[in-house]
Amino acid sequence: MTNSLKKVDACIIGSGAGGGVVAKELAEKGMNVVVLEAGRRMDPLQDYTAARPDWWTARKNEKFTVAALNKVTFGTKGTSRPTMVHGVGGGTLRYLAYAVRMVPDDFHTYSTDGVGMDWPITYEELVPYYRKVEVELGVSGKAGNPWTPLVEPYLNPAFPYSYANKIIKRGCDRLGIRLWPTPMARLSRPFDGRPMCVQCGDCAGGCMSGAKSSADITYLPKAEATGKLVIQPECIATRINTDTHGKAKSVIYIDKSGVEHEQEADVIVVSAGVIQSSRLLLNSMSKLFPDGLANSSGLVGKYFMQHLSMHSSAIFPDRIDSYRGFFGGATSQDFARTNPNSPFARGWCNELHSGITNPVQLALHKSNWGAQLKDRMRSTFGHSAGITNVGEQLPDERNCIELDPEVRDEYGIPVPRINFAPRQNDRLMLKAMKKNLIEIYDAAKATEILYMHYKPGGSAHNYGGCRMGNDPKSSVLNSFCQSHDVSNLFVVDASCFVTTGTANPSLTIQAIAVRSSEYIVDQYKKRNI
Amino acid sequence: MKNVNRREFIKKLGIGAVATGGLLTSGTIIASPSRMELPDPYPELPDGKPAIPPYNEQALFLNEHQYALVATLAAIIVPEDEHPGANEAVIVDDIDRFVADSKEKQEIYTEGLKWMDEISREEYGKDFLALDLKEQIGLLSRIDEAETMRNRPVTGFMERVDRKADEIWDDLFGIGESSNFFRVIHKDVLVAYFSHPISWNVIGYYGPPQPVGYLDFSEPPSPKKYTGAIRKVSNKTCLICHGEGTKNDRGELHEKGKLIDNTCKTCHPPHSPWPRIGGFSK
Ligand SMILES: Cc1cc2nc3c(=O)[nH]c(=O)nc-3n(C[C@H](O)[C@H](O)[C@H](O)COP(=O)(O)OP(=O)(O)OC[C@H]3O[C@@H](n4cnc5c(N)ncnc54)[C@H](O)[C@@H]3O)c2cc1C
Repeated sequence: MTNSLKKVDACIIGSGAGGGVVAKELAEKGMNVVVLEAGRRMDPLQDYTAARPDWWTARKNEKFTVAALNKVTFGTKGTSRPTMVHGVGGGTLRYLAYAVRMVPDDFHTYSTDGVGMDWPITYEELVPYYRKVEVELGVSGKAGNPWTPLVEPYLNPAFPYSYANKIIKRGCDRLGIRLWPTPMARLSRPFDGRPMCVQCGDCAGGCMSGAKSSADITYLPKAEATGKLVIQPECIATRINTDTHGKAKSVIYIDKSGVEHEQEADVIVVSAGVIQSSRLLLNSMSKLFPDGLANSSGLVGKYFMQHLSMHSSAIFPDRIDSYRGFFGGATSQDFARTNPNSPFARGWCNELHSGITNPVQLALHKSNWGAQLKDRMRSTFGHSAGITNVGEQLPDERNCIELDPEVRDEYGIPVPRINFAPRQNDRLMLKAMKKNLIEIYDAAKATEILYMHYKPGGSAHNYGGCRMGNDPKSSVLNSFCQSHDVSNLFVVDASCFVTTGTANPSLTIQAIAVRSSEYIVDQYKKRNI
Repeated sequence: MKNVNRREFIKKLGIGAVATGGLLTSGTIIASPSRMELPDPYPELPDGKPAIPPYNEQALFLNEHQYALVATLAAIIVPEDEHPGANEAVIVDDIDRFVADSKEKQEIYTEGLKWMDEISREEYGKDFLALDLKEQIGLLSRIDEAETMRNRPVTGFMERVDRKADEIWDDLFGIGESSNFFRVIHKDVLVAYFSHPISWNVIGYYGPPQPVGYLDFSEPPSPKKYTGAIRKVSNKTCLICHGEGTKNDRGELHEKGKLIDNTCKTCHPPHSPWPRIGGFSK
């Protein structure tokens, strides 16, 4: 028996980077909103482990995962599971809070380099929205980096480089690689009623202090404070129904006791994250939409992309004690543009970090024991610093999310099947990224590389599946994240990305979400949707 | 055949492609060695067997024999030297807890510990605890090597050839089908030992990230800070600024000593939306 609920103005599926922003923007403009979130509400002091002696191993992924969403299959051999985070706040609960803008070039790779596709929006159009998000999150940063033009000063000052960053910076300086403090959605001083960051370094385990600007402590509490919005945690959306005119009518969801509900809404916003948003649309097929909802282009799930993340860490002769402080902190985008001398298009950014920082992690890194283990731990612990090179993956139609024809989740819903592999351009870039890392480590006088690896499919930076564009034949959404086919259906998360750029996703997702929300409110008031 | 090791054997087969760490090398960078190339766990044999803690009558799962066996393995995995080892931290009690907490582990440990004695009797005619230290270490080395080789990923052609050689070795002189028990206990011992404050002084670690953090993160480390380190957290000072005071966004210094939920007024003002609004209260 499906329980029918009173109609609301808008129903948002997912409360992560994209959904969190839309929730606040719509509620503050007076719309009645319900947010369905598959994951739990986190209690930072109870759920996060950073104050325990065994914090590293006590940090459990299961806290952030919902079984019915976590089940995926792979159409391509050797693909790893993409990182998905479920909970009120979505991916921002565990993100490292790098709040980096994409650069102008990233929005027109086809025009400049003849690869990928141009976005229907430009960097300049996004600037005021970037700004709004940066103010809301209290981003700590330093304006005027060499790669992004014309950024107004940030509200909070940048953090200084960590000592680990400084060690690697010596190498970068020798090679002439320019670095800049990474803008952070983390507070360098008390702001907006929240405390400053004490540099504990465990952002990825969840922020205990409230200094990291995750959606659950920025956008969502403000949205709830309007009294216009209800968040329904532990509720999994399984289908979007349409009416006879082809408009989206309601969302079917299952609550934690297994009861099915139908939530009617005038506007439906899908913000379930890259893999689940495409899955939900494909699973919402009907007579009117036989290939899945909003899929007249046949492109839902297509052009799935990931950052090509080459993680690495090295050992240096002197003690660094890199477990102190935030993991990242310095970025270079010197290699982000196409280099005419390279055999590949586009490029990567270098993100400096602290390497292996927990004793357990280092001890397990090499299966070592006995007197040897103790000697090695004494001589290497505290000596590590690292770099992750984050490369732009070109969109490729073969990389896609589709429904598995056989496998279903515990509610009988088909699970997503992921087809993903680095293609020609990506492989050439990965090679160059490796070489670049070794050069920097060499110049910084590292003595040993602990690891250097790329896991295809395993990144946390997922993009695409419902890309935006001006032509309904070659895109799923328009530039406001509105479906070309269904006027009251929006997909506001990283699914709408046309290309990946090299910046971390969240700030751009959030800027796009503010822009889409403005449009939704405007069109809703004019009764155009 | 016990005196021929795997590496020599593989060479004898004429294949000779022992997996290397596979990392590129250049300049000063030295590629990481694979397990096969790591130095011997014990370049020098310690004198005498490690002392093990007496049986803990309150143990949740392990019986007396199992307790002694786990403690012995733990002491070989992390020995005492000029610094304390696993037994000084009574890691066996942590492992007892890990095992009691997990059905899966209970099976692995029950079977695995039984298997340790079996394999020891097969090879040396005695239970594991009755072996001398050299024999114990020797046996563990062979088990470790076999488990590592069996579990390493196979990608390239040479690795497949390598793996074949391993299988032949295992058939001829191998230590039988194990449950990968050594990997499990090895991991558990390291997790428990390096989560224990005793080990932090050995390697110079300042303790878990929260609640005090590392506000000196930008400076070179000072060795004084971590010798004898385990930072005391007092509930009299603010967890966030340690009572040193931080300025708020209006530039005011917070009032020392006034604590709300262990944080001072500036660091965690009462009007803060965190964590009161927004549903942290369930
Ligand atoms: C460890 C880690 C570090 C990261 N660091 C950074 C960083 O430093 N900077 C950065 O910009 N990005 C970072 N990211 C990536 C960033 O978190 C994501 O890109 C971003 O959160 C994606 O936003 P989204 O709106 O697309 O989806 P998400 O934030 O993933 O939100 C989707 C939400 O929808 C919910 N949901 C899914 N399906 C359903 C359903 N059927 N019904 C109901 N709810 C559903 C999910 O539970 C989830 O909460 C990091 C990610 C990880 C894991």
